[in-house]
Amino acid sequence: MLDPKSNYHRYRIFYSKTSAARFIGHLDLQSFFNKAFKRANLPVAYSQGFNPHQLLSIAMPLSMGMMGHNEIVEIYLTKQVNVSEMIDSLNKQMPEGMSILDVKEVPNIGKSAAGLVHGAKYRICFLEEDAQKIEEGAKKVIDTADFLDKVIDLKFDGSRVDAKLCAGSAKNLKPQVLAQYLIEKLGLISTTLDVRYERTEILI
Amino acid sequence: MYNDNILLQVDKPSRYIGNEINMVRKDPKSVQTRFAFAFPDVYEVGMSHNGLQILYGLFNSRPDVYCERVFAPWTDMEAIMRAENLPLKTLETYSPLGDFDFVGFTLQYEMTYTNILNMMDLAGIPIKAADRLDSHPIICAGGPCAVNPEPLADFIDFFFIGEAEEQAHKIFDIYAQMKSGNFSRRDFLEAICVIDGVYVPTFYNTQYKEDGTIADFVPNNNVAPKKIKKAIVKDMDAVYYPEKTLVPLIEAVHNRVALEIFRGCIRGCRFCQAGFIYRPHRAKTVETLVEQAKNLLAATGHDEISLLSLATNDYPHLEELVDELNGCFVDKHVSISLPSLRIDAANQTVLEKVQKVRKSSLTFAPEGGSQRMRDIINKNISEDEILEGARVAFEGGWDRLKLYFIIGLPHEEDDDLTAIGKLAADIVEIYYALPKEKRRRPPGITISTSCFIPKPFTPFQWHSQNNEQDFMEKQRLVKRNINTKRASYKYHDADISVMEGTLSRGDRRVGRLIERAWELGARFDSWTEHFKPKLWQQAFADTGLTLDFYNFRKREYGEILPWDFIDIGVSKEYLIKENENARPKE
Ligand code: SF4
Repeated sequence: MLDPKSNYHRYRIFYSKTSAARFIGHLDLQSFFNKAFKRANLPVAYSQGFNPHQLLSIAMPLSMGMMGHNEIVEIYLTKQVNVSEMIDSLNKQMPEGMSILDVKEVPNIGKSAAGLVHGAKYRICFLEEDAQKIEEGAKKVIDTADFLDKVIDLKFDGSRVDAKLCAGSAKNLKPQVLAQYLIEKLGLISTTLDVRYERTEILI
Repeated sequence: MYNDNILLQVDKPSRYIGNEINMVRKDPKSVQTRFAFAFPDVYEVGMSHNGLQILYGLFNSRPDVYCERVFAPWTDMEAIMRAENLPLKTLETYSPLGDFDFVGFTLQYEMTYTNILNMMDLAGIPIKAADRLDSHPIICAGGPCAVNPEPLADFIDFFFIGEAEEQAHKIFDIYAQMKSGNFSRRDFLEAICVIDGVYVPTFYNTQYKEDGTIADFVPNNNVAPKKIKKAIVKDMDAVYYPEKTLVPLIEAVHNRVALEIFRGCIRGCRFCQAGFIYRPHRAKTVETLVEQAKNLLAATGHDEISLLSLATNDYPHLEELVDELNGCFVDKHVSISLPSLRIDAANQTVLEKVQKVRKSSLTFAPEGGSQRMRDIINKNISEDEILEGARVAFEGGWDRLKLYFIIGLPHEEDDDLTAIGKLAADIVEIYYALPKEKRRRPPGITISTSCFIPKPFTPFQWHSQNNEQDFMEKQRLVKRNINTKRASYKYHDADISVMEGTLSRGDRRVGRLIERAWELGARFDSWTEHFKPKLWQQAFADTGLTLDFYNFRKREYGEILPWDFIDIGVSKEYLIKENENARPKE
């Protein structure tokens, strides 16, 4: 049997999730999108079967409270739509803290964005008082970390760390693990509650 | 917004953030009147309440009013707020409640009363009306429990009894006029106390007899009316209904478009307060409802429409309505649910039509297990009709049924209780009488019993309530007599029901009990995991009030009941007649 998806059109939607919207959890985000697509009157495609659901997939969960500057959700539509109109109509449905940055139509077969994720970029901010310790010691302690193979790239700038980390089903490193490691190894003043994380990009 | 360290520590931070779809944003400086709509339970419960959505929309439809929302903070948040001295704030503008002209509590169930005191206290507002100054917000309250406002009389500046959609405008208009002049709280209360539905407790005095019953309840202010008349909306098609409703960003108890198809109930089951206090029966037209459904679905993106009423069967155009809604929405992945539909052969076609989209489990509420008991309570449904309803449901492919009963009803005998299990067994038998190809899997019957609570403005308002031991014994009796493996049994907590009994029929003195229980730490009393019977026992001991007086005593027809001064639209003579009619024939 032919995959019904072959009749549909797949759209990759890039969005940001900041300020008050940071606290929408992963499952709630899914039902938020379900309703937003309906309000925007998009011709959303549904799964077959007893309990049909929208063919929608969020590329990568974002931790509660974390900002995401370039997140991804994919949706199948039954008809082709004008991408810039889609951006406009979706933006009207976003709460404060969320906006649609871009939409691309992508081939309707092949892996979903979730399946393509192999890494993510984070900005990790510690308390400013920790800047010196991080600048002096972070590189060295990271070199001996047992998760080193999951670190793609790190840049240090004062109390801030820009980290490119592996993500996805093969190899995955959470930024919280990295932060926790630095707090312990360097004896930072920051506690886990003080650290702020932002995800700046999902690598697919 | 609360800072990240707080929000990341509490369960479900979205409870305290707002920012929902269709939240109303106004500049508080641009309005004359700021109203905080306070729901004394947790966010997910309050946000599922249709009355909140209606009044939020209605109040905000006035350019001179900004209505914001506030919910009871969950216990984890309360602990942080108290430790860090943070006041309770609204979700729209994060303003402390003290900044508002009005804080209005909705009284949906009695067991939220301690939360009301707690919310005022967390906002730094004195809980007693007498201790508040003109600079404090005016505290008002309304909702079904306001039909007996007396237990909260000490805490609330004015109550609103009945339906507020029309009268609210009068109150706001008077407030706006007086605010532009120079007025005192008392001036305002005197000006509004003549409006239908408004009750200002401080304008009335109660005297008690030696036996504790009421000797006298009279106005102490000559503008205050002797009787308070419940406010009702006459034309349901013309009355305000929101075009968009708030869509929470976390899962609420209900996530759906609620369509109120009619108000009131034509039935008159003798235990049922809703059946009496929401009279008369007023329906909306199909046209109005379809229009409202379209607007609300477009504005919310929900995938379910729920047709709300007290007894959906009594809607005269049900089939037509379901047809119309199906026609508009069936290819849009929207399902229709009928939460209070009684299943019978008459509505088999409706069932089939609803079922087209999605199946949910079905509910029957025979309330009484035996025919004798159903006659006592005036539940006009026969055993045959129940069994026929079950057959229709099974035929239609539903194999999960919920059955609701009440235990501890007046004139109850053991046979009425053992009949519950018997009825369940008969229903299971009906299932197995179906042809084999219609039975996908063994059926599942859930039997639930609640504990009878005599409520004001019902024919049973004079009856005594069972005590906790009686209820528990009856629960055991019901359980022992459920002999089919296909039925499971759930029951309401007897201790909570007994406390609810005190608060439902309490007089002004019960305010002390609520206050004491709150001081001792009572919160979220409707939540089994939070209800602490010991605190309430202590509160009884400390205040000298007794369950014997409020719950277990039979009241005489001649007694002045604390809620007698309210004209609910049903006469006391009628209630007496109905109570007499309930007596089983010898
Ligand atoms: S129990 Fe139901 S049918 Fe009976 S009066 Fe109450 S609302 Fe109406």
